[in-house]
Amino acid sequence: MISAQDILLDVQHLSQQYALPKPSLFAKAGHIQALNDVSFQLAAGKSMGIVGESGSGKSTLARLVMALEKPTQGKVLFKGQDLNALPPDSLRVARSDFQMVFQDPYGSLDPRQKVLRIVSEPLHSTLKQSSGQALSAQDLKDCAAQALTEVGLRASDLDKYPHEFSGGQRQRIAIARALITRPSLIVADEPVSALDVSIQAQVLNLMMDLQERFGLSYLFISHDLAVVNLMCDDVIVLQHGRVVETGSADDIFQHPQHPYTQELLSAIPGLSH
Amino acid sequence: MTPAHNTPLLSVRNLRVALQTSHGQLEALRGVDFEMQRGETLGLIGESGCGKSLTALAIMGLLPDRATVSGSIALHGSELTQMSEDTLCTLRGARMAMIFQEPMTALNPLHPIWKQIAEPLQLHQGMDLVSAKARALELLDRVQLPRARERLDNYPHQLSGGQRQRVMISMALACQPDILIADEPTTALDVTVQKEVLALIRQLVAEDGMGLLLISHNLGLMRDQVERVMVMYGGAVVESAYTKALFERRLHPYTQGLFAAQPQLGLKRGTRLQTIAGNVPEIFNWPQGCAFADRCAYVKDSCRQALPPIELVPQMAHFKESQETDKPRQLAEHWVRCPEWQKLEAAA
Amino acid sequence: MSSAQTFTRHVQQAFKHRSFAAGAVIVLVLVLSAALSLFWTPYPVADIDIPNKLATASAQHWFGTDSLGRDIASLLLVGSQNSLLVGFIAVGIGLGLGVPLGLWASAQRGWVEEVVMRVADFTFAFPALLSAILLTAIYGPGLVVSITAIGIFNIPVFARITRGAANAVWSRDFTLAAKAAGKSKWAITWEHVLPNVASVLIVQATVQFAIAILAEAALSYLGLGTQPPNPSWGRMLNEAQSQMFQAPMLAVYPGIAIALAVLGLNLMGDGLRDLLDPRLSRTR
Repeated sequence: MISAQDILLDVQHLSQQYALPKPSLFAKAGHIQALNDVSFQLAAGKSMGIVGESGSGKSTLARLVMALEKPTQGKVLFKGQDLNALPPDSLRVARSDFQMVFQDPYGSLDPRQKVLRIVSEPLHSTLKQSSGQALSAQDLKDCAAQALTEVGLRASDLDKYPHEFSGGQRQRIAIARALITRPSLIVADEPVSALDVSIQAQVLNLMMDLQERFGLSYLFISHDLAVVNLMCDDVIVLQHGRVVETGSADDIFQHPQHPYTQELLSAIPGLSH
Repeated sequence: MTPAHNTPLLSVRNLRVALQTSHGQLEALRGVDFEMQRGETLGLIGESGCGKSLTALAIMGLLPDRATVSGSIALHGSELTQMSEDTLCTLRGARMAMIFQEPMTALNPLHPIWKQIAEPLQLHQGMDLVSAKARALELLDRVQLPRARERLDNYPHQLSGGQRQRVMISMALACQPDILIADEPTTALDVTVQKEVLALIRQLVAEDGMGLLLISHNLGLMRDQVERVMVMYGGAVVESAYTKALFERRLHPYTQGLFAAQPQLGLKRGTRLQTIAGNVPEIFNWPQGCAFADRCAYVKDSCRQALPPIELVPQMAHFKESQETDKPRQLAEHWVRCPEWQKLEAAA
Repeated sequence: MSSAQTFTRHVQQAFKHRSFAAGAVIVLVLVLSAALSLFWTPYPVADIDIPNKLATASAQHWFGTDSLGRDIASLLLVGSQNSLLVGFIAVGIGLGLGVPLGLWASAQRGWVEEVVMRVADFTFAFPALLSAILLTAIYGPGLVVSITAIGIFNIPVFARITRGAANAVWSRDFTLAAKAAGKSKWAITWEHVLPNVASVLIVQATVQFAIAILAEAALSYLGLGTQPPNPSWGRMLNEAQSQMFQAPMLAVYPGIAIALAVLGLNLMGDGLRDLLDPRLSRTR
């Protein structure tokens, strides 16, 4: 079992309900159960894959882990701290240790901001809280330039706008933004699903390189089982908000136990040959 | 009157499409050639910007006004590029049909689904509303939409993605067209739904003896669904072969790169995928010759000057027997637009 | 490329757009004539010259004179000052109060959004011009009251449109990314939401400007806006009514002035809408 110090992320009995729009003025609002009693642990330096189709709750799980929403029930413990119990300022400081990469490379970057501002945004919040002096503009620029080179772009790209880049390059910018505070955990919500196959390969390789280099942990959400198998040590399969199967990637993909997992595997095109 | 046996269902010769953009007149398709026989399934695979959707739109005559088409597209021998818009309208929906990637935007949100299916029936077969509605129900049953009778009056937003795609398929098949073009029909769907919808398409195509042109970026899909595959890059088809043959060996550097870049289930965790160096060039940056030249390990000077000509690859021995002999030799066999294919074969 | 160079390039590109170019030229003429009239007019507007009343256009009086012998050209020039003033202040009130309300409603959602939108709806329910008339009846006619009245009715317009556009921006991932980076709701509103709704607001502002000019003209026509002796296009129309058969041109000149101003602003607004469309900006 993972020892207590090594657990990076501990999700305990997480449930999330959303209220549906009321059908009429005085009727009671229905609700939808997006997540139902989800629990798992992620060790430092390892990667966990979350597999599911639409409606499985995987994006909700991502948002809850990132403390972008409060769960109806359950806890998200990051490095032992209950994220939802933290006062806002402490949470803001804690955020520099876990970051997110989103699915849509076109929507996740503000079209009106230059890459410098986009990539250095996570650093802005640490400016006021850090015990030393605030980071100067030049420091910000240097950090951003370094982050860009780490993802295979150039420092000269800092001055450009998102629309000057291709989808794959934008996703690299998003990864640079996630890396800039040197987090321990990166939550990647379908990070390569919107990319072409050859670009997907480049970005996946990059993510693997970065993991080795910086000792990152990934919470990797995807519907693509082959990608999850490549990137992740352990896997959780979600269906309709519940965990139906969990285990190591090898176990799940070679010896799936639950019928839904088996169905997902058999549905992969091209495999029946 | 059935057309002569050797007139192909669809014949595309030297199809070129030029687009008027802010960077001037750019060639988006640079000479696409292929043929499709009745009942044949053909796949078009490529990444974004390669021109596969443009090819489909050109065949259907749905290109925007700022596009200029040259070359030949012949359906049952009739030249489509010369036809007036009115004539094309009589063919679209009736003889050739298309289904699109995003069913939510392809369906009219303000019309109930029976009405949208009835539309081609009324237009091309002159049915009245009542018979059209009845036929719509038959079609929905055929595409296995659960509880079709109750769903007739539903609006698109009341259906799930997979159900909407079934509605779109039934619209496409309403007039029993000769050719069905499916542009990424399942990309927006969950993988379990994808499997059902593709099986449905395969079944219906086989039952009706339609020709199917399936466009996708997913290699596995091609393997399951089509007999022949064409690989597109930079506005041209760079390799064309029977699916089985293509999965045995790839002879164009891009195709090899594409296959190598796909993550497979059996890979060990942490294996680096083989990537193709560089990026897909933007349409205004396409080189004079082969668009893959800047990323190719085998590039020669002649590659940069002009688009490499089609080179026939001798079929592997066990394929020769299974081929039909009346297919035009040149276009049915394995061919590739690369002068160095023999080197690739040796290296493989 | 420096900001100045990018700006000039954008302006050059903007002037290639026909609607925008035409509208911008007209608006420029309007602004320049208002500016000019601050220093110089062919004749002082207060000068009454009864012997020369109702004169037709001539070399001395480019547009002739009105029933009191005042030079119409001068009246038009000075009248443009009023129109511009009304436009700027009324739209300014709308932007200054309506936009923050809309941003607040969008950022908070829930009951705040409901309340703000319902108050906006409530204000919309009152016909703007009639309410302006009501206000002038209570507070007395004059430029200040009419500007305020028109301005008040701009607030819900901008609140509504800002909220709608801001909601669309909030639904995009980059606001979530900013939240994940630790930014507060207000920081996100200021740094991300506002720049992305700015183009919508600019277009709406030009439209509202034109509406404000028309509203002021209507109020002045009714005698409730700019009071004599300050010239106003609307009041010139009113005065021309009694002279319809003797000097019909008296109504034409201010009418054309109003129409041109509104046309110019609308053309500019149309052009801006096309130019600022984010889908087009990607090709640049």
